[in-house]
Amino acid sequence: MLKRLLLALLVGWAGASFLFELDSAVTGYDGRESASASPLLWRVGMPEITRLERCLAPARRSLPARSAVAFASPDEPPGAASFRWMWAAYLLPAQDVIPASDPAAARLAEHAIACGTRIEDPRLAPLRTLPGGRLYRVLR
Amino acid sequence: MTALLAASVLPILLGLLGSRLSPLAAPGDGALYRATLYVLGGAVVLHLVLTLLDFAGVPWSLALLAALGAALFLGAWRLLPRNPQRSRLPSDLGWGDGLAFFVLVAFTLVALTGWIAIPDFIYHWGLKGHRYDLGRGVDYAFLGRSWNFLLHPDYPNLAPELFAVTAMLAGGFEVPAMMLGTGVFFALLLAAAREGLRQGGADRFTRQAGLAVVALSAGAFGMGHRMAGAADWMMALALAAVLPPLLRPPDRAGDWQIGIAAAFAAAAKEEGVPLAAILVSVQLGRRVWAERRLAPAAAARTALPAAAVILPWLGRTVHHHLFQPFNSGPFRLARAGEILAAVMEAMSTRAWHGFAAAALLPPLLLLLRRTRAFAAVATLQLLFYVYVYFTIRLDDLRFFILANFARLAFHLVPASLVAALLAWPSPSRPSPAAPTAAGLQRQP
Repeated sequence: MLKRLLLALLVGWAGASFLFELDSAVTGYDGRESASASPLLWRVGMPEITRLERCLAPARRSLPARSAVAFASPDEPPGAASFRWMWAAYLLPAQDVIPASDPAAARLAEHAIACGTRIEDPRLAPLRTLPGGRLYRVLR
Repeated sequence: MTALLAASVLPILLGLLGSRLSPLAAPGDGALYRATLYVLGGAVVLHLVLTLLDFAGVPWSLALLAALGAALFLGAWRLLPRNPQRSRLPSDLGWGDGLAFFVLVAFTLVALTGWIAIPDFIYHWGLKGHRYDLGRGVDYAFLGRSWNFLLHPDYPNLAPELFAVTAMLAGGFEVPAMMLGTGVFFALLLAAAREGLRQGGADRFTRQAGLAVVALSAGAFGMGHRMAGAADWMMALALAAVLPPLLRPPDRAGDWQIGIAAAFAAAAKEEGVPLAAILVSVQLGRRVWAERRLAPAAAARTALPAAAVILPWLGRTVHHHLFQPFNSGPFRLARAGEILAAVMEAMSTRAWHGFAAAALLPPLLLLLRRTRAFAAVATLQLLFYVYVYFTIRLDDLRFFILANFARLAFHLVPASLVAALLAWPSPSRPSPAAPTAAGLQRQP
């Protein structure tokens, strides 16, 4: 009897936990378009990621597959540039996306993308304007 | 919707392919558990086929995979003995099954939105899968780029391979189609847990309550900790799938079942490689203990599937210099206090709602004979995770542990919950002796 009671309590606790998380997930999803979070917690549908998708979409169509692309974005809040780069790599799977701060970018990149920022570098020629950013060609 | 339908075909095809591996099923195994083993077997075969194609430099294509799959299916049909045992669909469905089904459906629907996708799906699993789909193969040059060290380039490739093949079937890389795989692994995990409770001889109430607790706790963690698209489901599934063979004395079918689950784990994640080694060692140790010798055939059944996965992975990873220098360093005992504090903090992650404590149960389950084999596997795996914390080269160890221990505990929690429930005797029904496959067949 005691085992049954304890098991029933365990099921009740697990059930309450599940419903709590289900409610949190559904509420979060419903409010995704106005949600804000630290870069570590960015998700698809959040404004930060939607802006990035919008910036990268025309570039994705313009860039040749397997080309090396340097990616830059503001490091605001601190650490955000690194997370934006990882999202950019995910959103441009056909290209080799290199963080603009990585020494390999200067050696290998054929193009550069800046989202939410501008790159002032004499080795770069603006190729086209992106929503909230710019696509450059690297001059060799 | 078309992508989802196409994605749902993959586990069916894997199950069909695996169903030709007749030695995988023990006489007393239920239909749902057999399906679980068949999908694991099919996934391992797919991984080996894709690895062979990579070695041969042949690009993956649906037509080629379909032809090879059909050839393997027909070859196994002709050459391998048929399993004379008919699998029985569960006839004892109860409230726990209903709750588990509700959790599975709710979790999967939320997962399909992509909202609870694990960040690692963005940072490496999904990116690799998409890349392999576009390149029609594992892109080792891409993995070896200096800036891609965050992609865990040294990880085994089954998870991204499944994403890539799903994308090939679906006609493109669509997030809902990728997330559906997590729902499939969750369903198989529940089927394995259900079978563990049944074969472990739990009474009906414990079986129903146990399945409900496993489903609810895993579902809550999966949503709260954003686990959709994570390869960690495959680790938890592998460990749950070995519960039935580890609960009974070692036998021929158990060797195969453990061998395939070990190979599946090794193909899923780097942590799966030690899990495979532990599983094989424990099963071989049980063989030696029971028979005072080790039959070469038993050793081959248990160890060869995992070896077939691990050796090519090791060769490729070493050849392309993909192992990361920070993976291991000297053992630093002075970290013990920091590790203990961070592990406790990680286990109190809200999404676990206290259920992470189940990951610490295996050392206690060593005390009981019937759960000892499983407990040995889970305890050694737990010790491996802690060992890595003592040796990894990192500046911020606390952040690292907080970032991954709650997730690593997920590998252990579902199976440990089942084992703990089996170790908890009912007053009205004392714990039965370890069941045998033949004995289970005779059960009503």
